[in-house]
Amino acid sequence: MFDEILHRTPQPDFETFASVLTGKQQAKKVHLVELGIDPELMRIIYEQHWQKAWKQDTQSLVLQKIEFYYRMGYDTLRFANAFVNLPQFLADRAQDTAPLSHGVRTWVKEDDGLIHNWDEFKAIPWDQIQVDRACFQLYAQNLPQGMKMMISYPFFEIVMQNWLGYQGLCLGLIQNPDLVAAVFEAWGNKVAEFYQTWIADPQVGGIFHSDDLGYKTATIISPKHLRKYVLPWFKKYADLAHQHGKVFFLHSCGNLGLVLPDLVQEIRIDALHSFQDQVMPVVEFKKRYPQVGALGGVDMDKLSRLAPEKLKEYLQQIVSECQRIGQFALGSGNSVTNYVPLENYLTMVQAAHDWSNL
Amino acid sequence: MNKVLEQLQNTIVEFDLDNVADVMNKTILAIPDPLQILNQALLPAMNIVGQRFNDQEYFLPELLAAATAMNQAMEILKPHLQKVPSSGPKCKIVIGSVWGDMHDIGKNIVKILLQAANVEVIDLGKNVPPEKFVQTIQEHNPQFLGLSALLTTTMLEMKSVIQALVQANLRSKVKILIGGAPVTAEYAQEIHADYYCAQALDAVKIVQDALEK
Ligand code: B12
Repeated sequence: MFDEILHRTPQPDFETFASVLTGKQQAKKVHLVELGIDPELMRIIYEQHWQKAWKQDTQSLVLQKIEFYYRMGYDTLRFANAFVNLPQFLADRAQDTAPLSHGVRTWVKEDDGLIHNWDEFKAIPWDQIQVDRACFQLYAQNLPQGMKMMISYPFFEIVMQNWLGYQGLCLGLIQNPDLVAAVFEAWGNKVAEFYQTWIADPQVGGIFHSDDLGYKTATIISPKHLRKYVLPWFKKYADLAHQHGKVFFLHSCGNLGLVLPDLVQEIRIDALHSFQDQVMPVVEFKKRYPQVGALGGVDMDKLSRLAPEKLKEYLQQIVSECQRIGQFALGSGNSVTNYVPLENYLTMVQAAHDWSNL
Repeated sequence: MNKVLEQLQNTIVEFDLDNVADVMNKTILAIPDPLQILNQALLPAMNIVGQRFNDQEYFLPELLAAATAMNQAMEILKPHLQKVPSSGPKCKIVIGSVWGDMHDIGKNIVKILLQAANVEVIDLGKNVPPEKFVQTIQEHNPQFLGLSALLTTTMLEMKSVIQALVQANLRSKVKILIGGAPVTAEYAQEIHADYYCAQALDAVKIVQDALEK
């Protein structure tokens, strides 16, 4: 089983992938895409199916990741090693309940951040946080012909979860908006610097900006606040990609309801990533916005829990509808986590393959 | 509505954090019955806030700011309330994020809204093992249990909690509400939870309906 997809001769072609997603070209196959794949899952395939030793040092992890994406048939992978000298962000830890457990799962500490006042803001050595050039070179030198990187780093999420903390951001927006604005400004510039550094590189296909704006039923902060502090930065990042003739994809989880029109019309995202059936199934998104690319789309809960036969039926429905409308690539609704059964992941990749060979 | 109570209510709804203590102190001087202040200004204020949150007029920042205002007001009112015997909540819920799960903002919102509806909330925090839920239910005898999870892998722990309650012969003693990003109505059915809650405010409606019965 799955031999065909595990042992094929890949021909990555980022240009075609991007043309399909932006509607410049009709798809001749179902393209695949992922924002991330947990190493535990890659490792099983690497060791058990490709009979290769999996190494844990930093350089090997990068090389193995590139090889994995290449051999599984992806045209692009995400490059998110943006900075060196980031401070230690606050974290919570708990035992990881996943079958391919990390042992311990690290969580963002939700009740606190690093900056509570102006003194703490000023004490952050912003200038020392610099773009990680070495890591980029490692990717660039090892990327197979035809494949391109998508550069990616969060802006809003880091401000909310790490610099200020959820509570700090929320109360700050009301009690101390100047400090909040200063943090957004400082971090917005850092992320811009990262994107500006690499966008012109020929091995970069575009920006895959990654920033969760919503949760199950709404955006986390109001559309008014998003329009004031967050979306103008998205616009800058999107314009930067477009000025270089490259694509701007957005990964954003949760219900984007009220700002979705801003993202499409003002920011001009080329494609949206992250779909949850309870929020907006990918098929519904495609029907509403046929001219915007849809990336991924397979609901995480279903990908994790459906029996392979049921998953196949579900995939069939997504692929047939989305391919018919066009500007689509198949993948998980968020990322291939260590609680997605290997068989289900492979069933998803196989679905793309089967459809392409119909 | 009494002008003083109305002003207090607005102070909470509009999360006027700079003035809430002053307004509360003035209200206590003007209105001798602390229960009247609670039932006619504070609880209705948070009901309005909950509704606005539900209707996407308010978002997390506005909700948390209003809850902060409410807490400040309650701190001032508490000593007065303690003198009135019948002022306590009429119903109890134990709530927590299940084992393996360190996400609790969703659960905390549920707590804020339930407390605003005068429900006693026993919050076990996050990463709560099934035994802890069982033990707390044995000890406190609540009518409801609320479980929260962020990921499918931790959501599966909800089933372990329910199994542990069955084993301890406690399952029929509590109504179970579940919620969080991955949770669906089908999953609630599958594990025999009593209610699936897409939003925090659902919990308030469920508890209030049960009390009316
Ligand atoms: C913010 C966020 C994160 C943050 C913070 C998490 C943390 N503390 O570490 C970050 C960016 C770090 C993150 C990481 C990940 N995330 Co995430 N994340 C989210 C996001 C966008 C919002 C969550 C949030 O903040 N909600 C805000 C609160 C207010 O909402 P809430 O918890 O849902 O609560 C509301 C209701 O659900 C309800 N409620 C909640 N509990 C209860 C309980 C009761 C009793 C009741 C009545 C009601 C109730 O009331 C609240 C108010 O209405 C969701 C998307 C979504 N749809 O929610 C994805 C999401 C949860 N993440 C997801 C994933 C996959 C991940 C990662 C595994 C990705 C990866 N490969 O690394 C990691 C795992 C994290 C880890 N620790 O290992 C998936 C989970 C899918 C699944 N079925 O498992 C989601 C659903 C996104 C998606 N596209 O599918 N994530």
